Amino acid sequence: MLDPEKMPTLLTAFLQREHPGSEVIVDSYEQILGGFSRLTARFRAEIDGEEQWLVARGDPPPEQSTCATDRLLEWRTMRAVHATGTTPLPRALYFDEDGTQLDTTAMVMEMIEGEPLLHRAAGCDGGELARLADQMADLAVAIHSTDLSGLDHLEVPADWNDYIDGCIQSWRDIEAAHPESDPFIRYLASWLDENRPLPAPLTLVHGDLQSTNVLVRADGSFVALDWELTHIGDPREDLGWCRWNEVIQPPGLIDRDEEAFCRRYAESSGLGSEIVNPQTLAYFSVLSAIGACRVALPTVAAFAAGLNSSLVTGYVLGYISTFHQQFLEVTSAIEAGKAAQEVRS
Amino acid sequence: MITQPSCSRLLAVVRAELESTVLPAVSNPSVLAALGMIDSILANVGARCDHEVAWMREEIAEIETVADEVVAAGADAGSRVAAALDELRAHRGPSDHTPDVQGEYGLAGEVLSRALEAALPHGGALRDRVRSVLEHRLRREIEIRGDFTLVGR
Repeated sequence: MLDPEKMPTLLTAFLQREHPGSEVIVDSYEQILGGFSRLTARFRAEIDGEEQWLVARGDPPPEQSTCATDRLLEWRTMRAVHATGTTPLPRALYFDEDGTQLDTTAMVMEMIEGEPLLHRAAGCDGGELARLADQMADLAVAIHSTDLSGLDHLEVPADWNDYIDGCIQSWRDIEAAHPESDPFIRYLASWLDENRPLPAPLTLVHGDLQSTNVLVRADGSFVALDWELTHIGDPREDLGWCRWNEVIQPPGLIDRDEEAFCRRYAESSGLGSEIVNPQTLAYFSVLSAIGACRVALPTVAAFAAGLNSSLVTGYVLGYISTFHQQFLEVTSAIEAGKAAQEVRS
Repeated sequence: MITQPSCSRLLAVVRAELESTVLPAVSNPSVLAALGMIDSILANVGARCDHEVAWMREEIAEIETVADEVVAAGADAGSRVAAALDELRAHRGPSDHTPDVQGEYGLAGEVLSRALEAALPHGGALRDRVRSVLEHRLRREIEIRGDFTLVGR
């Protein structure tokens, strides 16, 4: 993946090892733009005359890394979730765990034909956006309803408060490890601790659910991509993170009518409006940013020290300022809402 | 040394040239995304380069003032704010070279963090006062960042 010229040859040998005795042809290798975290490319493969379009997804070299995540964890998660049959996602087919065959740790999965949800939404009017928002809520419910029995490689928190304690401590830990003090993170950690919402049952959490990580197939159905930040946690993290990303990647599906989105999710999931509402969604929009910051800030630190030279990492500084902005805006809005409620009552 | 044109002016010209000459000649989506990121980074550097040291100095002074207020209000349980203030005052940047001022600014950031942690449970005017320093810091960050939407999506 590091050298696109070599990839058809490497992939041919890799697939021949996976299919001993088969005739394998690989061509039309082309890198895909979109995700910032991993190297991704599509290619055509013929195995004993049967044509398939596949996607390779691998780690960039360390000095070009923009976020450090575990391919083995992603591979196991995708295989286990696919086996449940309840959530639409690409089928992960092959894995080069130690990177000896594809020059980097990489997996190969089926290619899903479709259009990124962000692009689809950009061309839609209000009524169509409402329908897409409903589908997004339904996709989230499907992910959060996944049977956890096949996901024993994921850490299971002792309980909800223990899990939230861990998230808040993670904020403090990444700030402490960063080369310069970040008062926004320290403020956020204290604020999150003092303003906990009602607990929800812990479920599978995608971890990066947003409209760029959802494909819309020709029949209109959704497929969820990019399972590298998946974990067991509070399902509202996915809703909040999706909402957060709408700020930097309009048009939004949730923010056009947050009440309606929350109502749809709350009813379909059975969690109810006390648990899922615009206020709890706002809380989790900032709490869930820990997933991105936990993997992005160490690469910013490496960049500052001259150990990382990724252009994306330099660019991500604007992303971090946007996190800071959201921390203050969201916490202010929630406090203003609480104050208004106290006045009314 | 030659100080005119300024660094920000030079960067503005580079950005304009990239936009008018390089960008129209590019059709590869990956290269277009890279150009978008380069432009964003150059814009950030252009916003910082003429003011960075002065902005850090101004904010350090503002943080010291508000931290003294937290201590004076009796909100500094465990003297964590006072300890960070002592650390800052004992390790002033020895020059106006950017790395020296960044070091001092980092220590001031720790003072602000502890002041926020002390003032948040305290509530009221003290909390709002300390938070206002954080809001000021955010305004600077936004001024540097400008509008931000992800490129290449």
